[in-house]
Amino acid sequence: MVLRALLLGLVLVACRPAHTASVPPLVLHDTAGGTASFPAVLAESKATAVVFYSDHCPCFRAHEERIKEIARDYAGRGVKLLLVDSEVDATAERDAKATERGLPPVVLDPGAKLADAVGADYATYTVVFDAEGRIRYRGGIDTDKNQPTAGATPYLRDALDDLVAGKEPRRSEGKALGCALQKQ
Amino acid sequence: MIPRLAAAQACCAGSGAVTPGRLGLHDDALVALQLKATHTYATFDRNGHYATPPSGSSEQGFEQDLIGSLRLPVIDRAQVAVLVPFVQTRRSARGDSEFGGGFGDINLSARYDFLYAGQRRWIPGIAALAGVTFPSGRAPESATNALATDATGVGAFQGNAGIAIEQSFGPWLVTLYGIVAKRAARTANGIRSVLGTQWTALGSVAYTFPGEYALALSASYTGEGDAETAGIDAPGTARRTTLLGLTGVLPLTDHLRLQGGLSGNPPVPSLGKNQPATIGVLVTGVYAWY
Repeated sequence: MVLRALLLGLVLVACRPAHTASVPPLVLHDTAGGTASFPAVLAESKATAVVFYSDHCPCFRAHEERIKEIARDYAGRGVKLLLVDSEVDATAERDAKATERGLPPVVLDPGAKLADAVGADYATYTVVFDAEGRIRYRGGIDTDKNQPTAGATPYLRDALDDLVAGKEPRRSEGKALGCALQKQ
Repeated sequence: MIPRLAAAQACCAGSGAVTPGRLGLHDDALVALQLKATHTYATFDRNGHYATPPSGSSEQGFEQDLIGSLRLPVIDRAQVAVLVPFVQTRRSARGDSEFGGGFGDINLSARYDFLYAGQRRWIPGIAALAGVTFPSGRAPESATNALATDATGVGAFQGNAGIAIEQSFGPWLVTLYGIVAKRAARTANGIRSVLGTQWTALGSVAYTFPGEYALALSASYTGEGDAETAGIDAPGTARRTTLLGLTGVLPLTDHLRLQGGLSGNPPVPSLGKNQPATIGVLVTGVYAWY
């Protein structure tokens, strides 16, 4: 009996349903005093890249320069980049330090409602929305983990290039390699 | 002394510092080569008394372990590992000195992570562990060298099961293992014997620096009940071992890392019983795919 219950538990864990792609109405505040109202904010740009932030994650820290470059390179091409902190200990004071390091303002996601809605479990996990609010890409920023290399496959850039060019992204998913987000 | 178990997650280098065969959070597979060398500097007798070896006797042990680990394709919280050891011993006693060794006991192990460390603030990561060790090495009674330096295995099947609990606190990772091992009966020189049940408690604290460099301190305590010979308890054969370790992790690339460390049985009476006291050094190269 115990074995059956254990096996059933394993099956339920292994076969849990994927997260849905719909984003509930949310008004989130960022560290610069601004707000991001979902889903309305998605209609303001050709594409919106939501990158999940973690203050202590080495993988995220290793990608900070690339995130800054992406935010800068695509700002003039109709792409908005939002950093989102869904961790339970997120505070505006703590995340303001990210802005001091040159990153865009960090949007706080209390209760991890946005993270749960898009299935974000790891730092650097990125979701790219089109202007209609549809998810067109989800996953890592690239194939690097903690040590940036010149040969990395730039998943996020590829997806944004394709979307801006009016094409279907060449891949819809990529592996995110950051730390587990502490959402509870 | 610690049963060999696959060890897997938190994000980072700290999780594999003490257990190099463990897959990291996003790793799909790894191969590793672990080199160990130990020097026996004393012994603990059946009463836990500590004594240095007699003049003229000494012992060094060497081991090269090939390790492979794989995350299961469908159940990605599960991983399996194999460890293939090659064991050598140099021993001198009573004016004789010899060196011998060979293939050791192969271990297969599995780990299932119910929860990963760091996902919840108040609930730690929890994993189930299981393993089996095959008597592929040469049992002590089958050794042919005069000082038995060609003995490379226990001589019996061993099964083990355990639980791992771990939690991350920013760059800190705290891990606790509890493992129980049972050994099958075997017949040596016409006499049936069974080694006692063995249990191990292991705790480690790892700190991960920027760049994924990590340092880990670990301590383990292993106890083993009296053996049974011809169906009768053999008093005074129980064992105890305490092992302290310090390990460092040096990532060379996202795929390749070097690990190294020192370990030793503290020379404290009653922390050991029926065991040699050793100091050791180990170096491990790990290549992981993710």
